[in-house]
Amino acid sequence: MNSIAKNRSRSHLAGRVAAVIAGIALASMAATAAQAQATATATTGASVTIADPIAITKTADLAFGTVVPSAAAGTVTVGTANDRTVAGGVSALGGTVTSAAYTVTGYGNSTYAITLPASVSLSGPGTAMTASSFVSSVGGSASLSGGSGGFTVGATLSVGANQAAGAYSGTFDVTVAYN
Amino acid sequence: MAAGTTAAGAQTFQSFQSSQDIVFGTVATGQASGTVAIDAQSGGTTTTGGITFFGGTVLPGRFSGQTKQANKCTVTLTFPASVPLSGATTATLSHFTLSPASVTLQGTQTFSFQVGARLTVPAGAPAGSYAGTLAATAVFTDC
Repeated sequence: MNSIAKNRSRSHLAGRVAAVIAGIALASMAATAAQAQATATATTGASVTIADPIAITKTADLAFGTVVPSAAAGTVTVGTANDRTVAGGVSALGGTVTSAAYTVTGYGNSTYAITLPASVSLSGPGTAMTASSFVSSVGGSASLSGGSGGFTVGATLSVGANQAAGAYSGTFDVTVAYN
Repeated sequence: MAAGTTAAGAQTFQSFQSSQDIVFGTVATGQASGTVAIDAQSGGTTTTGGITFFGGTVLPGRFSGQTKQANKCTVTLTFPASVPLSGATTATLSHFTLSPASVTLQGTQTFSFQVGARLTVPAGAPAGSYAGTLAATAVFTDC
């Protein structure tokens, strides 16, 4: 991670610029300079401190594990703590169950908003299934602490009646933005 | 370092110099570029686009000087179209504004101006300090 540059404020005072002109020359120039226009140039510094943009990295995929369908449709829900529950005609049968996990980096202790998808389609041997009701472990926004943070994400997968066996998968985006 | 130089008509003014740098505080951009502008009169900031303004020290620029006459002399400043602020990449300073727009001296020899500007930061600008130099030209009329 880039280090944060210290915000510096610089003040400069220039020495005076004195124009030294002989007295006689001044009188003759003044006589002819009825609409005199003169210019001078001075310089100043300008600066800005750019902080790290916010960035998100996935550290774990959302995995529903292995479930067994039946003649009745059902759902399997993975929460934000690698926890799984089933409902309806679906039974849990082990396998790897993980909440999606993300680390976030950025500036200081800024707050950021999290955008989750509305739904994701998982495709495989049978009819595509839909995961929805995405939730994060920190709600809709969170704060970085010392430039870093993170959260987990869960969702609910709808399993069809007599869903064909096999591996089903899909991809989804999670977005963070300073707010 | 601020400096003053003279062109034609050196007898009309005594001095002209910068007395305060322009400082924009701390900002960041993400997937879109953005701008942050300092108001010449109030020194306040406004942002547009994909920029986040985190605060920090914000200062408008300040130029001041002294003329040899104290009456009816009019002073204003002009600026280049844009100035680069260099760092890990380049941010661009432009749209310079002046408060007041010009000064007509009546019974005084000193003048000062506050300068505002707009900073355009490209998307994903890497963190760090960005700096540049602004040259202002003072135009003295009937001094």
